[in-house]
Order: sequence, then structure tokens, then C-alpha cells
Amino acid sequence: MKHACKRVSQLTSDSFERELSLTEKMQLKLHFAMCSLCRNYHQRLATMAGIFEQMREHDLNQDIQLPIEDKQRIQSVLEKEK
Amino acid sequence: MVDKQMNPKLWLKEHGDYLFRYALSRLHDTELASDMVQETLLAAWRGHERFKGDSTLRTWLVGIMKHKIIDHIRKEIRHRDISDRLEHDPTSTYFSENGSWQDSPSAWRDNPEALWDNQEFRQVLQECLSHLPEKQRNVFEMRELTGDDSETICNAYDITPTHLHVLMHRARLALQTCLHKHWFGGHTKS
Repeated sequence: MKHACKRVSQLTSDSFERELSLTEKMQLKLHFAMCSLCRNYHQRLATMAGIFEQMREHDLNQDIQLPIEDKQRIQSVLEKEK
Repeated sequence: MVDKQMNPKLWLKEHGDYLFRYALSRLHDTELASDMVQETLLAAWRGHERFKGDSTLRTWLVGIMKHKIIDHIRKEIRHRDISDRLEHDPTSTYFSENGSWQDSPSAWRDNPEALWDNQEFRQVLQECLSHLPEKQRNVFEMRELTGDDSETICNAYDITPTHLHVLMHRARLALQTCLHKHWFGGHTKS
């Protein structure tokens, strides 16, 4: 019980990575029921996950293009290959 | 129909920018990303009879590029050995001897959409990401920013899923601490 929060923090992160086993889910649920700090930590991770979801949706790189010189170079390489 | 698609110059024109961005977001190096586009198109052209048309051309090209990126990362790791030793456990600093929180985490109130819209916040986020140890950062960004699956990442970095989960956990702990320090905890909201 004593080392609970440290161990629970790994499980909390894992819940964003993989499907937890039934036992693990129970452990989290039980611990969250009595520990507001770990609930808060979970909420912070959920907020971060939401931010990264936004990031993936609004691809900041969407205007970046392959430089024109590189296009020309690749084109001539491809032509040689034909 | 398929024949008309089999023109590498057309591939470059229609998918070159997309492939470039795909490589750039994973390799963070414009020259390298551009080389990847060239290698991918060359390999695709040499093996174009293997394209069956059961996926879109872009999906097929991305599939080829994905392998090239994984190969590149694997080679680079062997070359430079950017290992993040698992024996040293950085998470200990966040917990006291008995495994309870060192700094009690409070709840964050802002919603992700609003945070994302805030350019100042995005700068803080970039800054915090840049402070992660290199391997943690690479793995974390590949997972969260570019949205690659675990299998691809484990393959590229030659790690087990368990190791990946440990790295993600460490990155999350460090990142939320940094964000709290530089944004949620200290920032006075206007």
C-alpha cells in the first residue's frame, strides 16, 4: 500500500498506452477512490493527451513544402532511373 | 488506369510535399527528410510492379518511407548509442521514500482546445519538450505528436513495449512537472 502512488503513476501512464488488465483497472479505480493526488495526476495526463490530439489535428507543418531545388534534383534522379 | 499512375514524376508532384512533411516530423532535419523522399520514390519506382492498387498510391509510398525511416533511426542509434539507461530511475525524484508524491499534484482547470489556441502556451510546451532527455523525447514525440503506433516505435528504437511504456511514463512525469512550473502553477492568466 505504501508505495502505491509511485506504482499507480506508471499504471496511469500505461492506461494511455494500452488496454489495462481487469486487475489493473480495479487497482486504479480503488486507488483513485481514495487518493485525490493520483486523480489529479490522471487529470493532468488527460489534459496533455487532449493537447497532443489538438496538435495532431492542426498539423503545424501543413504549409511546409519540399524545397524547389530538392524537387528538381529528385526529378533528375528519377529521370536517370527510367 | 493503374498505368497512368505509374509515373514517378507525377508521384513527386502529387505526393512529394506530403512525404517530405511525413519524414520531417519524424527526423527533424530538412536535408535528411529530402533525401528520404528521393530514396522512397526511387525504391517505389524500382519496385512499382509490386504496387497492386489495393491501397492508394500515397498509402503505398508512405509504407515504403516508413521502413526507410525506421532503418535510418536504427542505424543512427547503433552509431551514436543514444541509450537512456533503465537502471537509473529518474521517477524516484518525484516520490518520497515511501512512494507518495513529493509535490502534491493539483488539478489543471483549462481545457485542451483553449490551451492549444494559446500561442504562448504552445511555446512553453515546445520548451518543455526540448528539455526531455533525447531518447525519451524522440519516442514521446513519435508517439504523441506524429501518432505512430507502438510497434513502429519499438521497431525503430529496438525496444520492448514495456521499455516504451516506461519511457512514456518518464516523459509524462517530466513534462507535466515542467508545464506546471512554467504555466499552470506560475502563470497569471489574463
